[in-house]
Parts: sequence; C-alpha cells; structure tokens
Amino acid sequence: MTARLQWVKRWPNSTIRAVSFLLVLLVGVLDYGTGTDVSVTLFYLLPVTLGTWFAGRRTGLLLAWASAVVWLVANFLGKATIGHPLVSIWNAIMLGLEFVTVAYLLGALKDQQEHLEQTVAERTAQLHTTVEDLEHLSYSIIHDLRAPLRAVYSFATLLQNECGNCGQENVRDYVQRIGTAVQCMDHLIVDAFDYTKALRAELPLNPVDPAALLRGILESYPAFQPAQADICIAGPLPAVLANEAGLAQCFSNLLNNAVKFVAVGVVPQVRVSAEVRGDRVRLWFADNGIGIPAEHHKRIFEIFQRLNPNYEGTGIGLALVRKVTQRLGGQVGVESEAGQGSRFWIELRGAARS
Amino acid sequence: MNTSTKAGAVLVVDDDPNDVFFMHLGFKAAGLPQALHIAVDGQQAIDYLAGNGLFADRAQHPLPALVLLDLHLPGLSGFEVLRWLRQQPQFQSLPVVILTASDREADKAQAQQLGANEYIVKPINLVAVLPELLRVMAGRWLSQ
Repeated sequence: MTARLQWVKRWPNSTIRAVSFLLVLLVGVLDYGTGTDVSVTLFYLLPVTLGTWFAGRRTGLLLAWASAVVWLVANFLGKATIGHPLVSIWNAIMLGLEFVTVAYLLGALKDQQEHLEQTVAERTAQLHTTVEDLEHLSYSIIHDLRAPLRAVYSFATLLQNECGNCGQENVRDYVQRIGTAVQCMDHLIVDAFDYTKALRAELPLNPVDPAALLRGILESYPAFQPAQADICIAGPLPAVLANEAGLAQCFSNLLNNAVKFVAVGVVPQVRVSAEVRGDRVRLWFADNGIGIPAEHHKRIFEIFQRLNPNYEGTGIGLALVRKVTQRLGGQVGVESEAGQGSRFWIELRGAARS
Repeated sequence: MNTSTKAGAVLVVDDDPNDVFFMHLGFKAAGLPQALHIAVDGQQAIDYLAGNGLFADRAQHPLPALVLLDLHLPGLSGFEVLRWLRQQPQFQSLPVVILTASDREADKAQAQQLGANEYIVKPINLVAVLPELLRVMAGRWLSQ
C-alpha cells in the first residue's frame, strides 16, 4: 500500500487531515443518500486508514470518532432510528470503537514499520562505515607490507651487483633466491588484494564487445605479443552482458595461464572462440599447454590451489576469474586432459542486439 | 622561479629511510649534480619550503627546483603538502613528482587534481629503475 501511495507521503500533514475529514463527510452524505437499507459503514475505514497511516495515530483516532458521529448524524437525518434513540447512540459508540481499534492497530503497524526502516538504515550506514574502514585498512596493510619488501628486494639487487665478481657462486645464488622469494610474496600480496577487491567491487553490467577487449589486452601485455605467443581470435565474438574492467581481468588471467602453462620450448598457442547457447554466450580459450588431469578440474578454481610447483604463481588467478564471473551472473569451466591442452570457458549472458 | 643554487636543489619528501637511501644511490648513479634535501614528513616538507625554524638558512636549505613527494607520510599526508604548496604563489609552478607505493586510481586522480606534475608508482625493484627514472625526471623538470 505504501509503495503505491508514495505520492501521498509528500503531502503536508494538514492536507492529509483535511482530505480525510472531507472523505468522512462524503461517506456521511453517501450514507444518508443511500438510506438505511444499504450499509456503507465500511467506507468510513478509508479516511480512517488514510489518516492513521500518513498523518499519525492521533489523527486516526480523531477520524474514527468523527466517522461514528457522522454516521449517527446521517442515521438521525435519515430517520433510521430503530426504537429508542439511545440504541443508535450505542451503535455509534460501538462503530466508533471498531474504527478506533482499526486506527490503533494500523498505527502500531506503522510504528513497527518505521522502526524497522530506521533500524535497517542505521545498520546499512554502520555496514558502509565498516566496509570503508576495512578498505582503508587493507590499503594501508598493502602499502606497509610492500614497503619492506621493496627494501629487501632492492638490497638483494645491490648485493648481487656488489657480489658480481666476488667469486662466491653460492652467495650470488642465495641473494638471487632472496630476490625471487620476495618478488613471489609481493605478487601474493597484490593478487590477494585484487581478489578481495573483486569480492566487493561494484560491477555494473553493460554490453561488452569481447573481441575489442581482447585486442586491447593482447596489445598491452608483452607476454601476449606474436614473438612470445600465438594468440588468435577465431570468428566473431558476440557482445556479452558484463563489466568491462571485471571481464578484462578474467581474460588477462586466462590468457596468462594459457601462455604460462606450456611445456619447455613450446610456443604457446591460444585460440579464443565463441559459442552461442540460447541467450548465453560461451567464450572458449583453447591452448596447447600441459593440460590438467580431470580430478583437478574443480580444485583449480579454488583460491590458493596450485597444481604444478614447476610454474610460478600465487594460486589466485583462476579463483579470481570464477569470483568475477559469478558476480557477472556467469559461469566458468574447463575441459582438459593431462598433455592435451586445456579449453577454459566463461559463459555470460549475451547482450541483446539493438 | 627562485633558483638560488647553481645546479638547483631537489627536495625528497619520504618517511622510508630505505627509499631515501635508494634515492641517494639513484642520484649518484644517474650522475645528477643537484643537491638532495630530505624531509621525512609532511610538516617538515612545509617547514622546509616555507623556510621555518631550522630551515631558515637558505644557503644551507635552498629552495628546490623539483619536489619528489611520497603520499603516505606520518602526520600531514603528501596530499596536504601538495595542497599547501599550490596555495603559495611562489610554488604554483614548482614541479612536483609524486613517488608513491600506492597504485590506487583514487590517489592518482586526487594528486593530479591537486596539481601534481607526474605520478609514479614505486616498483619493487626501485633501486634498479631509479637512476633512469631520475634522469628522465631531471631532463623533464630541471632543464630550464
């Protein structure tokens, strides 16, 4: 009721009161006009309800008694008094009490609703503050964690430069390992942060042209250049309903995996194609990589799951792809066997063609 | 522009002693003749630029021709330093290069809006890239 009568809410209380009392009088006239045989008492509930809900319980109670009085007057004027006049007065009081009950219950309901709305608003505001605080905190943590890593890495680089001709091969090796470990931790921090960002980032949906998005990604990453990898977009890719930034992250993660997980000496080949499935579009990323045994297909999309220690990684890339795709209302999956390459897919809603 | 020293001075505002150390190394490796002056927090940067207290002696603490400014600083942030700086008539065209660990788009936008000339994110291999980076920055902002 409130949803449809939103416009009434904008009226000042005095207007609502005036309209309600006018309605009571109108029903009274109707009551008088229709005579005693036709009962219209239920119509008095309309102004009572209106007044109670939008102008408060006190107005409702006043309207309830006003309705009873108007009913009594209409009855007297219509000469509909049965027997003793006190009977009509008694009936009017009973009617008034009925209206009062309705006004009272409705007022209680309204109070409850307002209380609930206020509680929700307060909690939402609290939640917003908490989320903002957490966001700020995580940025600070990232910043503070990465600063010492930068120092360790830089000092490792300096040591390595100093030790270039020191003749102690093992020292050079140790220093290099320090650098690699630190870099790995830095990636982990950045990836974990990206993942938490994907969890809470707003991802408004728009029609996205996957081919244009892919071309942009292919141009901007050195690892996807023709000399490093052979990546082709096969056939037209229909527009999908997605969020460009989110989808770009998914695409680059899938392509990164496709060019990373190849056998030594193999030039990565990736073929991106589309398959229309009803109102959805499945985008395939087929590679010539090392493949994934079927028993691991589920695990690879979970966070911090890594299958092959010979390849660098944080175990976050595919988890991020799955999380973002889910938030875009889509799904991800893989078809693969060990040694046979992998065919990853992302399925999203197609963007209705205009 | 007030350039009281021959080669010009550079003011580095950074609270991380390691990064300051790398900055010294980078300047040396880049072969830049400018004197490096350090402020370790926002208030000190403002005091330096305004010539307050300890920094009143301009022979020792010359006005810089370039400021390398970190954003996350104890007390007054780099943003506040930048805002103050652009409010001073004599520093309105002083080149300010933001050198920060933050790659937040919001930080970048705010820095640009406050009048930063460049925004550079500190990479993990800071020491390796600094000489070249400083050479480029010096060529771009100290050539006049």
